[in-house]
Amino acid sequence: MKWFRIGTKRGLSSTVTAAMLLSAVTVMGIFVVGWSQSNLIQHQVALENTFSDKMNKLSEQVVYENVWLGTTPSNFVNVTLVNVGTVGLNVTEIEFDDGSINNVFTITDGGIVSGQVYSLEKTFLWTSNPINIFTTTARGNIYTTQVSPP
Amino acid sequence: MKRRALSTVVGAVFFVIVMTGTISYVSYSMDLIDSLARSVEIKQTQDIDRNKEEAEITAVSIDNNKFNLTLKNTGNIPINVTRLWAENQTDSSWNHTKYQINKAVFPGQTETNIGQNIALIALDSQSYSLKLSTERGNLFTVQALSPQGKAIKMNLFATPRSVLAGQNVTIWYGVTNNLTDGSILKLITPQIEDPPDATGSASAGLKVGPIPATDESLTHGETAFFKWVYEIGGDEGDTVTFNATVNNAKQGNYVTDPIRIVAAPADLTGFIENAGKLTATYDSLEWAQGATGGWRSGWNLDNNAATVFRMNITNNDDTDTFYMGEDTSIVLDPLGSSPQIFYVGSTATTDPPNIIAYTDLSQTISPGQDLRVYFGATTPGGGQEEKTPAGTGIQVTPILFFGKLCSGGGCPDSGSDYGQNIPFLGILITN
Repeated sequence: MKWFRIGTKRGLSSTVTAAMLLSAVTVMGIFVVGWSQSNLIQHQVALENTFSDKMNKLSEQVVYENVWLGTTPSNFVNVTLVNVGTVGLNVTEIEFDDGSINNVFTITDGGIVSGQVYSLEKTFLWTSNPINIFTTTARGNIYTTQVSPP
Repeated sequence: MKRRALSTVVGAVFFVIVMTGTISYVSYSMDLIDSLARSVEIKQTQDIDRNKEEAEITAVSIDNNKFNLTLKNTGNIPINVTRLWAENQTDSSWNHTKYQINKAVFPGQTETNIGQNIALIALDSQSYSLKLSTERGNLFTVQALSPQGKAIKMNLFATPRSVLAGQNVTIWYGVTNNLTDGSILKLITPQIEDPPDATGSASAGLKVGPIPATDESLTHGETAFFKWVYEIGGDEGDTVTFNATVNNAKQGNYVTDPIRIVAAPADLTGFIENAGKLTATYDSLEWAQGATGGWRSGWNLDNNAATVFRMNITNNDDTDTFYMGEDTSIVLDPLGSSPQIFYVGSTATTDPPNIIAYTDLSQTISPGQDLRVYFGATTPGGGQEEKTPAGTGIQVTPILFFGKLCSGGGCPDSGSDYGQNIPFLGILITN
């Protein structure tokens, strides 16, 4: 009757308990590690995107190098921008507003690498009113200037 | 106990993994914050540098039909000039055009010949708006105006204004850039109507001039002076009117100044009656300024500088001795602002100028004799040196004599008061 010895029964339950404890620890550990890694990666990507956007937006700088109000064949505005920032940028929109007329031009070829210029000439029936010019970039920066007709 | 320890070890391993991920995340976040801080710092530096860029276009001319701009870096950081923009203000059909320059100008340095290497033909007869852009995005603009673009300030002085037939007349012509928009006048070429308008039998023959022939450019506030010398002929009462302007001047932008021919004196007594008893030997004029140089001649003096003059004066009276009063003086009148008066001194020394106080009526000029007279005191009888005017330009400069004419006993108290104005050549004050 060696099978029903008390000492042997105690050893079996102890082993089962230990196995269960180990399993539970392992399952919980895998879950926690998986959850934390996934969560951290998500936040890391979001953080990286946010910081990257902010830094690039901060590094953008556009200057109006020349604005020319012409009359032939009809009144027009010629704007030349120069990218004096440290990153390339995309001009997406240029707006002319003289208080009575407001024209918004969507730009599709407005990529400017650092140090280069971009020119745009558009018909705008300017009068004697000062013209406000707004330039919007893909990163959301808006640069403004004002010119007075001759 | 050993089996429970195994679970603890496994749990600890997982904990370490989770903590490692968290620490990595925090570390990465710190790096990003550091990068952002560096980006902000770089941006601030760029903005500060952009604001620190300072330069001045000091001259504009057209040489060989090409622009020739001179840019001086007046700031304390290097400037890289990237482009030149040109707008023709005379011909509106011209497109605004840009040209690559790419020239570095270091602090304190002056870059010349900007525009000489670009494919742009410029004309003296036209006005331009020029703009230099820098790598940091600053713009330095200048208007290069042909004189025909705007009316500019001119002055004309003929001296002497009353002349004897056969005498020379010197014509001084001044052109001032009084345009308030910062424009630079380019290529000032003086022109004088030749022969000038004359009445009766008057004539004027050009002997010399213009000197100089041109002035390349005038910045705001600058004045260019030109000189002609004419020999005058004709009869008493005839007049000659000089008319000067600049090449390509705006219509109606000119100045005139007339002179009148006076009769030659029949004899010395008559001359004295008409012109006064005292005469100046003009070429004896000498002056001293500054710490070195001694006595110098000519008519170009520095502005705002202590100055002493000396000149020979002759008493043409046959009998009376001239006792010179302490109010005797040279007056530098800058035409439009307060004159500076240089009172007589007993003597003067140079390097630096030093005037010795004069005692009223202490110096005399005997009949037919001359005397070297010194000027330079700020007050009658004073010993302080007067300064030339702070402003620059032509100064009308008469010499005023006060004193007594006296002969016999009891001089000078028994003499009669005498005063005379000797018209003098113009003095030119420069800086």
